Formats: sequence, C-alpha cells, structure tokens
Amino acid sequence: MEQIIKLIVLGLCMGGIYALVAVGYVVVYKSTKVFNFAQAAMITVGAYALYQALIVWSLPIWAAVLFTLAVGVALGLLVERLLMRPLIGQPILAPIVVTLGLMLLLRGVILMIFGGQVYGYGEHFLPLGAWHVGFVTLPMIQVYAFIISMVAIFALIQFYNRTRMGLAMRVTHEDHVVAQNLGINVKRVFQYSWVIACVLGVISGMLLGNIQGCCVELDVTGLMAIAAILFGGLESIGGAIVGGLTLGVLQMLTIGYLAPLMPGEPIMMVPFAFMLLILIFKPYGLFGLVRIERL
Amino acid sequence: MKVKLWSKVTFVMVALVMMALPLASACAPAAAPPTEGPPVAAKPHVTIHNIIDLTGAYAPIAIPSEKGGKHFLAWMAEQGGLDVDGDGVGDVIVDYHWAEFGNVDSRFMASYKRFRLEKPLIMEMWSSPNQEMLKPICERDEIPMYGIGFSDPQLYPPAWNYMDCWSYGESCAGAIEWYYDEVFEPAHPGEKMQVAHLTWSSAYGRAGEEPSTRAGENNGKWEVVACEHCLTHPTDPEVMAYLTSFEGMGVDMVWSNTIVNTPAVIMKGLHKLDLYPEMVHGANLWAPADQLLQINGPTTSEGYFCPQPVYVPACDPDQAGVKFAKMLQDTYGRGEAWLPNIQYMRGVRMKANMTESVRRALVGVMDRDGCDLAAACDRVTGKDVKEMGLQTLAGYECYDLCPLMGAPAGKDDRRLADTDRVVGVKDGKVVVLSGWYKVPRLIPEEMKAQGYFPDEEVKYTRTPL
Repeated sequence: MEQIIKLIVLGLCMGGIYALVAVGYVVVYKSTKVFNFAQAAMITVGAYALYQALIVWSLPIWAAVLFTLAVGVALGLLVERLLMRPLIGQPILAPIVVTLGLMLLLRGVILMIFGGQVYGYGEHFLPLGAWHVGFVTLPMIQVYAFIISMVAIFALIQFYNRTRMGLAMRVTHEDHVVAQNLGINVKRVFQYSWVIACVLGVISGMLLGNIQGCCVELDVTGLMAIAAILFGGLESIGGAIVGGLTLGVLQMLTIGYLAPLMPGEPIMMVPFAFMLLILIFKPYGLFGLVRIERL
Repeated sequence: MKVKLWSKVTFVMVALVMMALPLASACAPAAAPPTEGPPVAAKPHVTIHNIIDLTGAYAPIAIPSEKGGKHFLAWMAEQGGLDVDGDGVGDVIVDYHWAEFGNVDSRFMASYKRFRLEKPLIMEMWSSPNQEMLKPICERDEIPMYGIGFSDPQLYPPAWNYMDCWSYGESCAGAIEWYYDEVFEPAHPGEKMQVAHLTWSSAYGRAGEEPSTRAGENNGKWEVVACEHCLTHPTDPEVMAYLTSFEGMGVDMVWSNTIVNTPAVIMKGLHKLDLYPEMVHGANLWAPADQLLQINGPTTSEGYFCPQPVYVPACDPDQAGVKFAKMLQDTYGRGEAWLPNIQYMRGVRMKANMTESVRRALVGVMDRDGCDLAAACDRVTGKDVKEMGLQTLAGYECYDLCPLMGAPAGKDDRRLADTDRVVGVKDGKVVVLSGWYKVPRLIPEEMKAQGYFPDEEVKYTRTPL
C-alpha cells in the first residue's frame, strides 16, 4: 500500500507538467480547430532557450526566464503569421500537416544549432532536496514544478474568464462565423491562441529541461501528453488537467507494477493503450463536447 | 489581392527553407577528407571509414569523440600524412570517409552498402546493436570493424570486429566488484550487495546484465535483483518509479549501460528522493563524470562513479597523453573550453589505433609482395589490416593516452585493453577513486567448451598492474 501511495503522489507531481503541456494543445484546438503537433517541439525550444540564456550567456535566472518566455511569444507570433494565417479557409488537414512539419523543422533547427549534446542547467533553477511526509518523499523540484504548472493553468483560466480577449476566444471557440459577425477579430484570437500555446510550451520545456536535461528527445513528453488530452477531451482545459494528472499516475503505476512483467518500454505503450480504450467508449474524451449535427 | 500575394510569397519562402534544410544536412556529412594540410600530390592515398551517430541517441558521446579523432587526423595531415617508415615525415595521405546515421538502422545499412563499394580497409562503427547485426556481413565482406566499446556477443568469434577496450560486461563487473571490495564490504561485512540494472532496452543497454549476473554468481559478492529498461532519453516518471521500486527491494547499487543523459536523470532521482547514499549509481564509461557534472551540477552528481580506460583530462593534466590531446584541441578545436574530455581522448585513441593498423598492414604488404609504398596502398585489403595490423598492435604506445596501451588482440581476442580505473564525483569535483585494475574476463563456459579463446592473452608493453 505504501508503495502505491508513493507512486501516486509522484505521479501527480509529474502529471502537473503533463497537464500544462496538454493545455497548450487545447488552447490552439479550441480556437482554431487545428491539432497542433508542434506543441511537443515548443517544449524542446523552451528547454534550449533557457539553456542558452542561463548557461551560455550566464544571464540571471529572472532574465533567462523572461528571455525564454519572449522566445515563446515570438515563436507563437511567427507560426501564426507565417504558417497558419495563409491556411485559413483551407481544408483542416492542411494546417495539421503543417504543424507536423513544423515539429520536425524545429527539431532539425535545434539539432543544427545545439548539436545532439545533452545539456543541463546545473543547479541554477529550482531548489533540490526533498520533504518527508510520513513515508512519502516529496522531491522539492517536482513539487515546485507542479505548483508552477498549476499557477500557469490558473492564470490561463482567469484570462479566459475575466478578460475581453478571453471572452472573444470563448466565442470563437463556439463558431468562427458568429464570432466574426459579432465584431470579434478572429485572426487576432488565433494569434493570441498560438502565442499562449507557445508560452505554455516553453514553460513546460523549462521545467522538463530542469528535471530531465536538455535534449531533442524532450518532445517525447509532448507527444505522450496527447494521450492526456484525448482522455480529457480536446476542447476542455479541465479535461486536460485531469488527463495530465491521470497520465502521470498511470505511468508511475505502470512502471511500478507492469514493467517487471513486460519486456521493453511499457511507459510508451500503456498511455496510448489507455487512450485507445477511452476513445472506444468516449470518443470525445471524458470532458469533451459532443457535437450533434443536423443532417 | 495583396493578401494572396503575401501568402504565396510566404509559402514559397517556407517551402524553400524546408527543402533547403534537409538538403543541407544531407550534404554536410558527405565524404570529405579532413586532411587540410599542405597539398602533397605525389603521395599515395589510403582511406579509413566511419559510420557514426552524431544526431541520435549516441550523439553526446560521439560528438566529442569525433572531434578528437578528426583533430588527430588533421594533425597527421599537417605532418604530411601517415608516417609509414618512421622517419618523421608523412608518406601516405589518409582520406577519411564518414557517414552520419542518427541511430537509424536503415541509414546505417545504406551507409554501409555505399562504403562497401570502396572496399574499406577498416571501418569504425557506432552502436553495439548495429555491430552485432553486421558481424556476419563484415566477415563475408572481409571488412574489419573497429568499435569504441562492445557488448560481449560482439567479442565472440567468428567476427571481424575489434574494440578499443574491454567489453561493457567486463567493465561493469569490474566496477561493481571494486565498489563491493572498497566501499560496500567494509561497511556491511558478510552481506551480499543487491544490484539493479536500469538501462536501455537494446544490445548496448543490456550489455552489462548477463555478464555481471554471472560474475556475481561466481564470486558470491553481489546479486542482480532487477533488470529494468527505460527510454534512451529517460523520462522522469519512469526513473522515479523504478527507483521507488528499487528502494522497496533493498537495492544498494543501480547500474546503467547508457550514455550520460540517463545517469543524469537517475542521479537527480536518487538525490531528490533522498535515496543517496544508501543507494548509489554507477554507469559505464560512456557516461563520464565530467559530463554529468556539467549537466547536473555538483549536488546531484555527488557519489556518481564510472570506470574509464584512458587518462582523464580533469584528473591527469600532466600525463603525456592528456597534453597531446590538449595540443590537438588547442590547435584544431574551436575554443570549446570543455574539451578535451574523456571521450575526446577515446576519439584520438580510436583514430590512432586505426591508422597504426593501416600503417602496419602497409609495411606487411610491402614485405610480403616486395612492392613499393604506392603499390602497397593499392593492394592492401581489409584482411591485411586485420592480420598484419589490428592483431599485431602489441607494443604500440598510442601517444600515451592511457597507461597500459598496446594491448594486442590474440587470434581470438578482439579487445585492445583490459584495464580500468574508477573515476567519480566527490565534493563537487571529478576525482580518481581507484588505481588501475584488470577487469574480469567473462567468457561463457560454452564458448570455452567450443574451443574459443584458447590463446587469448592481452599483452602489455608497460609495467604490469
């Protein structure tokens, strides 16, 4: 029992980061109906941008974080303006394929700039050590990462609920034409969505780079988060949070109990097997909107 | 109209960039001689080959190794080429053809097939899985492969593969035994140490599992209680979950046969879960302590250790081999302050051993056929390099890159060294933790029963241990 509780707690800590990544996917999908595969690459960009600022340029941590966030904003603006806006009105498959291409492109660019080396932030970022609560060990770095993730998501929810642009984004989510008719600048909404998604991606990248090191394979975590959003529902931020936390716990329990019985790397397989199971019974995810169309 | 034009221009620009990038990367590693010294038109040429992973899972180790190797070849080119007759003047230009395979098997095979047409004399290859796969093919094609480290199955004949040191299994067993004798046994007299492998699920990653289990059963000092596998770049959940499981199993040491990114996550895990020092972590040579320190910083690197067969620049700055490597880096490098490191040293050693093998083969061909050097360069084959080069490296000191150089291969032995020294992180610094020791030879009984390795003896030209 102790073992299960330990694994669940650690899984929840990691699930916070998955939730943050998953929300990035949801933000773009809600506004644009584009499933942004490149969100996984934003994580890698964030990790390397912080490395560049913090270690290579030796900037103080606050400046390095600001630089990384600025990279996220710039990337969001560029992607939306150069790649996505020209595709407005095209079949939905076109922008989706572009995001896949963008993921590979960003990966290639990172490899060209930084090579295949693994980098780390040393001890510049988030405190080390652990808290002991009964028999459970809570790694500080993980708990802080969880808190940062949750704060970022909370801020996003507040943005959606309390700002004019947030309201516009919610209307756009309902129907692009209706939003346009109401005087909402839909292109501006798309722009905001991409910027927010990229910023969430680079925040996840900073947290993951700190925990796992900087390397191009960080995007694997982003791809695994796809299971979380399909579980929670593509259009639901709450669903992404629940999905992310569930994914974290599921991975922990898989390794704790299934891995000794299975050859290979079950951590990659189990989340997606779980996702398929969910899709069979709940095609729109647990919290996704069921779209009913009149024929 | 303006918007449409803008869209088209953007589309064309993006399309051009996306087409240009793969083209540029495809062109970059094309066969290109690194020899940039003064042109010496009259000199004959020989070619050495390499299929390397500079962008895949092995990149963190392959990049510094390759820098060392290329700097060595550049230095050799500046001396006028390969000095065959030992008069201090280069006689043969060494061309270097290499391909980058990104740890993708299909790219590896495509590169091999392309190089095979050039009838290679010696081919450096990266990653145990690919070398295991290619063993019978290289034998058929009579191409000696040269690797930077091997899984044990790569050592077993028949094969044309040679390795720059010992097998991963031998090194793993040697390091575990060192830890048991020096640290664990004094603190826990009479207890058997519990060892868990947390490594990659590949021929390379698993290379330490079976031999170290067998060694533990034979010497009674440790027991391997778990062999678990993580991704090549492990995610944090898997490492935390495995470590939590190991804690429940009473594991004393976690071993991984990976590269530095995996120990980086494991060491962070041990420290953040407060499992260190009850549970320690050691890894093979490709996860060197100096790189780990760079990634993790001192606190979460503390207590890490790994065996190394060469001198370590961070600990042995005054050794002649380290000075040689430093000269190469200072002369041909681009000011990378972190070099030369352990892998750079290995890279220099690799290319030095390869070119020396070719040199010996050329001398052998000239003696055998009574021909001149130019004719020998045309006639020399992979078989010559194997028999008159690689198998005769006894006595070659290889620029003093490690203390026991010149360990030759016997007819059945494919190892060019069998000694290690444990290096680790202590008080935030990379330090040498042990003296040089001989790694245990772990030939399976069934191999001996088949008559393999009867004449194996690693000979040294220096003082024995």
